[in-house]
Amino acid sequence: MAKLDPLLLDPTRLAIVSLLAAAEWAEFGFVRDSVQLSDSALSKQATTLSKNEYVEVRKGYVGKRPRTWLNLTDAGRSNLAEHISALQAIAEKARSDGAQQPRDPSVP
Amino acid sequence: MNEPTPEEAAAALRTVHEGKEQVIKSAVESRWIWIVSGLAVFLYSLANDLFPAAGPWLTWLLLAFLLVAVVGLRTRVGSTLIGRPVIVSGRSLPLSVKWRLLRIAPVLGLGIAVALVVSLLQLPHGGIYYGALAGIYIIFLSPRLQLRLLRRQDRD
Repeated sequence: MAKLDPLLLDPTRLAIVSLLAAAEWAEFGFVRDSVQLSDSALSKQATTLSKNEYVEVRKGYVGKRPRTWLNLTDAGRSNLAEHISALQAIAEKARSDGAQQPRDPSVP
Repeated sequence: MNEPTPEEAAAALRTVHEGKEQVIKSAVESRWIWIVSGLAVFLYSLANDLFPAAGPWLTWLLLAFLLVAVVGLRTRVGSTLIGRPVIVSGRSLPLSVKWRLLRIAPVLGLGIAVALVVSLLQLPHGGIYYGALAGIYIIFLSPRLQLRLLRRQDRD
């Protein structure tokens, strides 16, 4: 059975990782605007994810402007896949439990 | 570790889906790339047909354009320069053989149709028709097909 990932139970971290899951590389600015975080808040989350080897951070220059790109590592990708499976199992179980429960005759 | 409630799990799954959708939309957002590519293909076929003597250097010009496009679409710096904040690849959204074939099927189908029309009606400047068709395909249909394929890949 798929296991939930404690790191991805945080909604902000899950949003960042989900965004990166569909991309090979994403610009820091794009991730920041998409998940609606400040630079420092995203930087903090990216450091946490990077320390746990979920995310790879690359810095570089485009012209004279410094840029940062984020990439979901293979480990991050497989942990997210397992986390999604666990979430689906929870949602699916609730759905099947709800379907099996007999209807209350007093409810119109 | 507290297990999420079914509502929380459903909300988290929605977050995952929305995140992927944002990246997919962003990957096909820069419309000017498609327009420039379509025009380049059309102008190449037009020039090649009207000035056959210039064929070799026109081919070099097209190859240089393709090289710039590949660098722009496949590298971080290049992607940033052309205004695409994300790079989507086969690694992030793997494409099955079926969808790989589907990607080239419209091009092949249209190519065969034009070849039939050009040969049956014995139309001159057949190359220009191919170029126009390829250009129209790249400008109008490619972004839509790309969007559909990426969404499909995400579901697979």
